Amino acid sequence: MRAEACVIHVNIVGFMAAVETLSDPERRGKAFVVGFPGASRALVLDASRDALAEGIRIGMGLEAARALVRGLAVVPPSFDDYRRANAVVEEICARYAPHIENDSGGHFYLDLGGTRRLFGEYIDSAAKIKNDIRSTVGLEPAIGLARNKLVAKVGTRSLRPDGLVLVREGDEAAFLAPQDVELLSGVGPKILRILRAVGMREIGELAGVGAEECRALLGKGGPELRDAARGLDSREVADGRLAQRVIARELRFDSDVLDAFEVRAALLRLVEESGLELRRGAFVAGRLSLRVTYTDGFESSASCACARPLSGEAELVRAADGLVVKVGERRVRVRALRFAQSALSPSSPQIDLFAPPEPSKLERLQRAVDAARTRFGSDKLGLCAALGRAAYSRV
Amino acid sequence: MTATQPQPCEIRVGTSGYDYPEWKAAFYPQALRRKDFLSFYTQRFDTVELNFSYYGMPRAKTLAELVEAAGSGCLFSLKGNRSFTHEVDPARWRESLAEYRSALAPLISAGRLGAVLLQFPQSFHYEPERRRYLAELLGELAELPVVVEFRNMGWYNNRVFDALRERGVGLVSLDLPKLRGLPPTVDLVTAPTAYIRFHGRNAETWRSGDAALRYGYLYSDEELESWIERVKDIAGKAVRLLIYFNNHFNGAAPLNAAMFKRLLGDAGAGPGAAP
Repeated sequence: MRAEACVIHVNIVGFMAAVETLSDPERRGKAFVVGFPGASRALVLDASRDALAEGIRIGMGLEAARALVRGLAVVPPSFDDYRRANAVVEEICARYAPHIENDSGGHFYLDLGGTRRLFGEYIDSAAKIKNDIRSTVGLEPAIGLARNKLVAKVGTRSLRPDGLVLVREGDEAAFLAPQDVELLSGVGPKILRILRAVGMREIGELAGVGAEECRALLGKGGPELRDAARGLDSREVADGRLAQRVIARELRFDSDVLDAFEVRAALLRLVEESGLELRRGAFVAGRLSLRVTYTDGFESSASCACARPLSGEAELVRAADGLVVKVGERRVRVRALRFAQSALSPSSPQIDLFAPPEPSKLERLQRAVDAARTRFGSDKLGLCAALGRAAYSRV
Repeated sequence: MTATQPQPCEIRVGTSGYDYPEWKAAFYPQALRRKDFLSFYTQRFDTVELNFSYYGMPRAKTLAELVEAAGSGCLFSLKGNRSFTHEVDPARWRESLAEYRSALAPLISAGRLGAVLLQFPQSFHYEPERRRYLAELLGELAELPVVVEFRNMGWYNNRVFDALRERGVGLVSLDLPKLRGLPPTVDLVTAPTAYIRFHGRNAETWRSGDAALRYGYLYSDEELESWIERVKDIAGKAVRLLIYFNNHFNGAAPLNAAMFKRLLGDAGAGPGAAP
């Protein structure tokens, strides 16, 4: 927690829908959702304000959404547009903030600490950032300014869809107390049901509960959530522009390899490891790339923009196989491989901190595998196809 | 993708009250008669917030005379009477409110009502009975441009913000001392009419109980400049923005109001200009 209120949360509510409205102003004032209309178990990825007003919620099934609004327009996501808009907003933030954490999807944390002499009071910078985003991109952010990320974020959620709030130093708990408890990060549908069942509706009610009661009610993470309700948050603004972050794995064969089966086995191990890191960070990747270095020093690369962001191992493997085809076949021994995931974005806008929503069977399997790999090591449980004989070392 | 053009917003700057003999020399000429204060004032400012309506029930005749004296173009914002903000008698507040509303007729018919300001004290807590009361009060004033100022932090929450939006009631943005326990700084446009009040920044004397010490504050150029971007932000969403200086002791309010008008003009966001 900073000594002064210099941490900003920029929250562009309904980011995808807002960008889609900018792309086609005819959508303004209409109920529409963003999603993959043809996909099985398709979900609402985002919804316009008018759609939200009709009771549609992000994360609900498309069919359920259609049942609420007859003739509901479903717009396929334009991830490139979202990335572009996100990058412009990030550049605006970078004019004022030395430290930016880009969580993509219209969410940014900024640490303005030490910039007062350059740009004036922190709230002035916050207002400038807000105005610059509106005049440059046409998006309306909510902006929260507080001593830590948690309070700044509750601030923007309380204002939604837009506005500006400064929570003074020392007033964090008092500001949080009357807000709806679901505004607190980590309170998703399951925890909310528990809290509602015991009559807790406001953050202040959770803040007043003892650690043991919290543990009994919410499990071992309960006291942590209770501390959050008191406005306590020691997380720093993690300096990192998400769109520029890359999760990559690279290996070099001890002896150059010609056998395509062995090359694929090694590649799949890279996919397993980098995918695990991706999912542990709760990210999805919008872009994948593969670089193959041959024994003659020649390098061949291929990359692909994913039609929709990926994180599951099965889909990453399919995409990696596609990259192998794109790289093309050379009857030359392979010396090294590099597999990279980029254009990252958060996998879900809001999940329970301790009790995630009901996953599909494949998702449950993936989580079990990831949990086992996290506990016992990523080489202890893997795909059969990744079990090759060729020896290699990490680069 | 292209940014949309902001709606033009009518921005007006004035003071909280105008009838202060102590403003002579600082603002009014020494020789100016008190009955000519408003005429002099409206040559410089195009809006005024009337506070006498808080202490005593306003009368239609008085307000009609003010409209007449102000000449054309001045908007009046009227503070709610204490009988329905600070000293609420459950048995009588509706009667008081009816009397108050009927007094507004000359302002409404002349198109000179800026807003009705309902300012609630620190002791007006966010609790069920008062929430119900506020809902009823706002319901009674539904057809008027109403703005609310809360001094108790409990009201600054998401449910209240949503309720104000639904009712088209404005939330006053405040400039206050940096003191723990005072309302958070919130710029949130919840109605076509947005409203800003400058109360001064006397942190040490704010809770002294002495109004002169509390509101005797002169803003610096730098302090007011820092508001320009916030005004632009608010004006980007409101149809009308009313800005009042309540630091009335020693004539600081009109000085600061004039300074702020100049600063807004220099920034291209002045009264009458699109942000």
